[in-house]
Amino acid sequence: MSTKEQGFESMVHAYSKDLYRYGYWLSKDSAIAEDLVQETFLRAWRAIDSLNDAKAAKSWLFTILRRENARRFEKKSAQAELTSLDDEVIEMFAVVDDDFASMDNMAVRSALRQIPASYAEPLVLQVIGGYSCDEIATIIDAKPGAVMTRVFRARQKLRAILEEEDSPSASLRVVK
Amino acid sequence: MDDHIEVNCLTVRRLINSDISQCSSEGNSEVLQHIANCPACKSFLEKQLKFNAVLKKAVEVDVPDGLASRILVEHKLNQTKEIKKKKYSWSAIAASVVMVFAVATVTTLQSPPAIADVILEHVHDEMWILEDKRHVTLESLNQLLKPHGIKADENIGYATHAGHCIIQGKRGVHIVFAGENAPVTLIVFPELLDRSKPVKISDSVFTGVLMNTKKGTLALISEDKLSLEKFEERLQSSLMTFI
Repeated sequence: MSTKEQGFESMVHAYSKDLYRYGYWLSKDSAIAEDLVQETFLRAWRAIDSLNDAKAAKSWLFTILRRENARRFEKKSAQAELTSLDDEVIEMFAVVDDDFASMDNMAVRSALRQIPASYAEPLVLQVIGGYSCDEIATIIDAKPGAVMTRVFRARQKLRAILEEEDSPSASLRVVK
Repeated sequence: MDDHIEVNCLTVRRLINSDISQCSSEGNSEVLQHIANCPACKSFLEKQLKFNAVLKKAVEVDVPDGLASRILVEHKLNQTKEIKKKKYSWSAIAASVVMVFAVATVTTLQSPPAIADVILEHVHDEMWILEDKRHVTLESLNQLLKPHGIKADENIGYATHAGHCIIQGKRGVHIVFAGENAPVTLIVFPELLDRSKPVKISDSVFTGVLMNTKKGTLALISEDKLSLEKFEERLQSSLMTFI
């Protein structure tokens, strides 16, 4: 097996699971997610000679998968107006004592789905891939500052949804 | 808290909320120093890390078994096709002659739908798959079959190969089972047959049958008639459910 083949195989073993999870999050469908991963590696192999830095492989693959998914849709350029964070950061101080440890996966997934994709996606990349905002900015082709804002907003919205669902009034609504 | 600390707390918490990686051991030293000296921010970071763990657990959906293996098999399959194209392009004319003969035979026997020759050609093209010796789990088979509305149970048999294939530009599933005397190929693709009853097909090498499923067409092909019949019996005994 050539070095190139070995490198490719290592990439498949190292990153296919995270790519699948990202693909699943994007598509909400296991079959499509697997297709996206397959197609990602197909394209990666064709362009593997252009990958100069092995350390960049993971971000590179995530970028390919994201583009592959985008091909399924006509991209909408709905970009929300992003404002300064300072006020919201101060608001966050009020929820420091919240404990989300007992939240079940379904509730968190459901909450994530309710957040606009443009906000949730950087957060999902951060959680699944462990990326910094600079790296996410490269993957989703946005400015690092905008990514920081989106991640922040995603966390804020997530908290708001989870708090709402966890409140007694929410339970009453469910019973009703 | 004095003004200096408050500003630092603000900066640190903003960072914790938006780019927590910078607050780890390899992150910004000033931020780390602040966290070490500020119990409130330290507690804030710990809670955020806990929340991150919850988030991570939530987004880490189960990954289908054998995903990496299937990717590598597809990769090898594509590699083989590339090599075949380059290495054996000279034999294309000879191959077409064989296929023309095969298609003519099929037409004479059954007047089968146009897709018959495409399927047979596909099996000819990928005959090397019949030599595959690995064992594909039932779970992996069902992962592949599920999008086509098919679910197999453990009696379906011993699969030695499973992967995706492209038939007339549409993505199908290509599975090979160990047969009585010879392997049996099962192909499923998302296009309904224009016949209501199963159609028998054959050429100079293979015998097969095409039948409609709820979502497309299922083809069974084998070099050995007995192996094919035994496999058909298993299908008829509802060992494979159309869902």
